[in-house]
Amino acid sequence: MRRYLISGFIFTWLAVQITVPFFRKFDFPHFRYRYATFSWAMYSKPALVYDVSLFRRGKPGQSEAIPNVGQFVHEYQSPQPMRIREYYRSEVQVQEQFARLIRHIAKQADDGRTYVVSIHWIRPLELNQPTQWEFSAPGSGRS
Amino acid sequence: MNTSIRWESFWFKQVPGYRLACFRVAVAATTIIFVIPRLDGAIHSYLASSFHTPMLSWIPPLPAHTERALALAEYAAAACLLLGFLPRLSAGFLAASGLYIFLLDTRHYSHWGQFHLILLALLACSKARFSLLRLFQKDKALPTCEAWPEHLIRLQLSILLFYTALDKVFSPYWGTSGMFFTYEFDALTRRIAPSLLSSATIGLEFFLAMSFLFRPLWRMAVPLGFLFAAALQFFIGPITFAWDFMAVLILFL
Repeated sequence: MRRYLISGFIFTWLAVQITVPFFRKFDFPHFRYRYATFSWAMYSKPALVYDVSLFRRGKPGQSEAIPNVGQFVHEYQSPQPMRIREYYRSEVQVQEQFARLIRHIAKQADDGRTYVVSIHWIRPLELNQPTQWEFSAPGSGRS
Repeated sequence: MNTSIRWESFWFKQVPGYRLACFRVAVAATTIIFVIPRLDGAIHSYLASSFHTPMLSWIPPLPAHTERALALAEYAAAACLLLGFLPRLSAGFLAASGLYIFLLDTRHYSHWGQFHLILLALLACSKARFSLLRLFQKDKALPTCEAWPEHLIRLQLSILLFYTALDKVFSPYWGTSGMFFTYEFDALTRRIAPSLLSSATIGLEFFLAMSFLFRPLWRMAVPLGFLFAAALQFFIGPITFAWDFMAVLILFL
């Protein structure tokens, strides 16, 4: 009985270890290659390097610091740009995370200002990839 | 010989226990030196932040003021794993707590971390119970254990190497372009063509993945694997993956 259980464990382990990275790597059902976590994509892309600025806009054209931004994410600063080196996430994942963060900060604020994240990609610079990305969310307290 | 008997004799035959015990000691040392300090850093940053992006929405957040207790428990478990005291429980705890920290925030993910947690999980399933002291006693023969945990760990390394090589074939930064080397190792690419370095790395990873599956090739693959891990260590710096890779190579001796 014990050996049957262990055999089942071995079979399941190998099936998971073989199929999961494959389907993570080759976006099912399109079978297009993509960089993905949990797919053993070790060193398959160079580190992302970017400057990210978190700030809010009060009067038109005026950028201000977001108060206490470090309490949202430890060691983050505002409004000065922060140089970040990212090894394991793609550009899209980084943008999604910062968009969520700025929405979260804007949701906490009830001041009518617009909260902005601006990313300047330094490397790697692929063909047709814009070097600047920006996302904003209104601090209405309701969004 | 029918398939069932071949399966039984391959996975369940008795093998000397010293390899698995040495592997356990190596993984425990890597956990203490490299992994726990990084997990502590991740926990500290996590608890000092109010915004998180958990990998799974239902994962309960880490309660405040648990940082020291968790770090202490992890160090205690790693020490037990090193010494061979309750090794399965210790490895299981380290794997579970590491997985929990992984799932708390998407920023905690790393490929090397995933590999290390897998090794700890497989150690939790194995019977590497011999103490560190017993490993140093030359006179007494070490007990034997079933072969399946060793086989699974070896296969895991092959799977990892196969997929990482496959990834490099399709990645726009590898393949025949070798852009990865231009970005990360500028000084090296002034001497050797990046396309050559890229193709050689992919070829070596495929070769190691395949040769670890066939015992007659181990004599060539193990020194090559060791050189590969040493090169990673030399060019990239002290990295957990290189140490874990070398730890797994113990199982091929």
